[in-house]
Amino acid sequence: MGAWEFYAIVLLVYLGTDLLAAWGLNLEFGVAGIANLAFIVTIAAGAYAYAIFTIGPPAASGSFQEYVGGFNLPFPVAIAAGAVAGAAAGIVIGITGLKRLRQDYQAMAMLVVSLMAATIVSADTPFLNGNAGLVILSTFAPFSDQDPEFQRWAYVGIVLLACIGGYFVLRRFTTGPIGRTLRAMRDDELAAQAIGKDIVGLRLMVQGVGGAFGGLSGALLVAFISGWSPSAWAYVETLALLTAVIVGGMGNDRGVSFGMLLIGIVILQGVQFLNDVPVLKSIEEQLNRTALTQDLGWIVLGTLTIVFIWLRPQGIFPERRPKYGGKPS
Amino acid sequence: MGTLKSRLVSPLALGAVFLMVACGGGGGTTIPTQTGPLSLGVIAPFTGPAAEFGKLLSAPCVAATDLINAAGGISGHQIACTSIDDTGDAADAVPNVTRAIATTTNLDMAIGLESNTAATTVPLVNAAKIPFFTTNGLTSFTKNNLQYYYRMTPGDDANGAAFAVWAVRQGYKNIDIVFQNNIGSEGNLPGLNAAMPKLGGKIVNQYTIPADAASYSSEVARVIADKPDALIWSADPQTTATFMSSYKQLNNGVLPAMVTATDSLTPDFFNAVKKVVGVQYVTQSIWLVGSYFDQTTPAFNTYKAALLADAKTHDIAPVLSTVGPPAGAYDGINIMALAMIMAHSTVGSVYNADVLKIVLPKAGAVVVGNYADGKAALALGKQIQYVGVLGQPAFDQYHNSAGEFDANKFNADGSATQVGTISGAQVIGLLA
Amino acid sequence: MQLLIEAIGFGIAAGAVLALGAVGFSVQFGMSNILNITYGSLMTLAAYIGLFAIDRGVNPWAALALAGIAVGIASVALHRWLLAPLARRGTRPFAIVIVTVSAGIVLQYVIVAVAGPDAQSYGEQSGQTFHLLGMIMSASQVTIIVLATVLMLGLHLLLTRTTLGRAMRATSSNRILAQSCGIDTDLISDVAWLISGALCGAAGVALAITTVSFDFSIGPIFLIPMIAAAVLGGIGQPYGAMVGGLVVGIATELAAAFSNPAYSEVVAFGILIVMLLVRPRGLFGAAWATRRLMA
Repeated sequence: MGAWEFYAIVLLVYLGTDLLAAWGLNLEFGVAGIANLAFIVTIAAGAYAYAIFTIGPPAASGSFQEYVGGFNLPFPVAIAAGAVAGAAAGIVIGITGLKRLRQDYQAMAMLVVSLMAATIVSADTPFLNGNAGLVILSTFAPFSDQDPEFQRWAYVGIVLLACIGGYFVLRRFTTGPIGRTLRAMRDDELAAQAIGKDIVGLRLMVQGVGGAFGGLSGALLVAFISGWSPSAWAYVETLALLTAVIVGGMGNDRGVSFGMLLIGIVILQGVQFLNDVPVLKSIEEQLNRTALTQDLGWIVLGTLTIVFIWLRPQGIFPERRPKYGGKPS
Repeated sequence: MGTLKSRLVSPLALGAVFLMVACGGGGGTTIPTQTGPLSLGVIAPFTGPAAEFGKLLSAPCVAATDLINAAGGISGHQIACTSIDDTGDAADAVPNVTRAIATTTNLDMAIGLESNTAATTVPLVNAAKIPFFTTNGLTSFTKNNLQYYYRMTPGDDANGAAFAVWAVRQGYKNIDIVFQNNIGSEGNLPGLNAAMPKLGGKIVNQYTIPADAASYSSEVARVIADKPDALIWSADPQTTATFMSSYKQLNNGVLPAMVTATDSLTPDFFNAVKKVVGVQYVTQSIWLVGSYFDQTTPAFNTYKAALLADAKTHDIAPVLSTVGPPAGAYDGINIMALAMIMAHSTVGSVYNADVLKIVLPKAGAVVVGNYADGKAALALGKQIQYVGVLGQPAFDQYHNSAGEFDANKFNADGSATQVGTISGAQVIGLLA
Repeated sequence: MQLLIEAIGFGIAAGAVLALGAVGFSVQFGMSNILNITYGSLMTLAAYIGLFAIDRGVNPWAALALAGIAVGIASVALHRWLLAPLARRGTRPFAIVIVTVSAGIVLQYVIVAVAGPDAQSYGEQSGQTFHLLGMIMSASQVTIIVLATVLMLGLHLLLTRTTLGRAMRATSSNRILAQSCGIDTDLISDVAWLISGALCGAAGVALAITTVSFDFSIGPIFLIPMIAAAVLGGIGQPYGAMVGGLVVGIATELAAAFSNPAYSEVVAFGILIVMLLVRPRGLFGAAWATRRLMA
């Protein structure tokens, strides 16, 4: 299989799993107003759950990694386990956010939850192999009896199916009566409660569903890349995503996608390009500081975020308020 | 998930890729010969928290390629280093490495693939049929079935056992293990636990400390109470300096000896600890254990001279040249280059079979210690045996060569001197 | 038993540094209702300003004062020209937090670009070691505890006994009402940010002195325990922040002394979560501050 073909497959798989994660986060943050900075934990939960469901017990492969579980179950079961683990993690995180705190304090509480989870997993080696993470040794699971080229494209197909299914599930929650209720809860929780909406139940449901999306995303990703470790779920990931959502515009898919494109392209293109600017390169060599362009990249990212929020605090594509007009039906 | 910085999946990128694939840029069959300069991938973190490894691993690439190009290149091709940023994040590494494999012309050899990301990057490079010499220490590769994988540095568990051997040899029978919570130390522990009892030493206690905390006073108090002869230690420069400063204050100025890995043989570590507890402790009581190699051989001198000659590596040359993993990478590059000549091909799938042949002892072979000599001997139709900076490699069936170990001490100027050797066979035996 | 007393002593020393930072943070939030994450990077800035001064022979405590003034001015600038205008325009609080995070990142990487990523130190500053009631403390730790106590006391007196302090409390509690009483709330805000910024600067240098060896990430790492201390004590309450600092400091050291030290930082995280869930107003928090925390 040509290298370009494989790169295309990698991009497609990452696109699919990224979309699932973004949809989950947008459901929680954009639609329901829950600033879940611990979202990455649901993705990690899904990834780890897939791993421990699909590989055998530690002793079977020579005990070079320690972990709980090891059930050696087939691919569909393990993926489902990933989604369930993500939902469970989402609900637990949701419980910590139940108190009616202001959004930014809630965000901080969830960030701290994410840090705690990362510290515990990396410090407790027998649980999930600590810092080294888990490696999935068995051959790439689905369709493993077919030739590798077919196998990989088939996997893209699986991710595509997951996305299509996920999108339909998502629409049920972001539009229609449930979507309106969630937006009402986001905009004015007291009023929503006053008309009889069960806020606690709604929030937990949203975190469960959003978490399931995250868990599914993590499980599908780890099945493809065959490894997962604490290095892959630093909290800055979610922060970067939320920044993109804020800059692009909350609560609508166009804003979210645009935000990801803008922050991503500006960084991807602009910052890599900094590496080639000759003036910078010579300063870098003079000071003997190889990461100077990376530092500049961070400075550019931070500055641009501030500039965008300054110019358009409501986001580039603010949410369109539904207009109610005309004759009552 | 990935940072947007390193891994954006945008429709534009995808569109471009599909154009490439559709217009036949994919290339299903391997081309037997290649034209133009060759690329040597350095797969390491260049961004993120572990960014210094990228800089460190680029150095052997610089040295090796300088020498190879000066000797006329490989079969007429010049060779250049290509940085491939694995970001230190196992998930983000995958798109970066796959993109590099797709876009870099003539990417036929690679080094790096360090511990944090090896789980996901190693299978990719192996599947792309690119021979590579890795410097990770993960025990998961002690046994493997990867054809293109080679490792000339010991696993973390072997390093742990080597610490134990040196500590006991210095007369430190009761030791405390104090490790910062990171991937390398986690790998050292099983080796230490296996080796210490067999050597007659005792692990009084083992502590894992958080990185960069404001105060380690309570942890220090616990260690002092254990009355250890020495500490087996692994932590970053700030953590070490903070801990030792606390220890000095709480223990009436008396500091324990320290056995640590040659990973700490860096100017940052030396300066951070020296500034806080003084140069005497650093030069007298810190032992740095790691891969051994003879630093008087012509092969070593060539390597060091190349590092000193290039402006990019000149400043770090004195310290870097004494550290095992970069030297192993340098040797690996030479071995792969010579294998290319032997196989009359620069394509990985073709020359891979000759990699091991370069280092096998054989009757009548010319022993060479650098690329230029090897190239000259091969041109005369002779067989060669490469014995480089790390000495004679002994690859087992899994393409791992653990090598020998040594212990070093800092000198007052921040460089290091070797003070003793530890047999690789003894270390491996302790792990069984 | 001895370890217990020693750990408490270590906790008090660590807590004093936390208290310095927590008080500043608390005053800032009380005044402007903004969760200012840039506070962490400002502490880093203070540590490096201190390094610059000390390397040129300035006495560490003078350097602390210098850094305090510098960071105080920087904080006023940050608030006046970036945060306050955004708040006036109705930017949602979470977006403002993202702005403070971004500003923190920019500041942090400017520091790295200028000073480099290597570990830094003020050198051996601890001085003589004292044994008090079974606790072991260095001279500089004792100085920091005394300094923190004096500053807390001073701040409390300022807030309760002076006109300025009354104006500050009034502005914190109800800005519009304070304006209608003729108080120049913009000026008062600036003063509050100057004072809290100075405390931030002092905390940064104190942190660098206590931790002996630091690099560019020192501020953001300690921000969370400081916020935990501030929330525990009660937002807007200087004495509360002091108590909060002591509790977080002692709890962390006890965890390090009697359990797996790798989890000791989880203690501060846990305190923060529990307080936010159970009693966001903190131990001594004023009711008006609590209303701000709730949605």
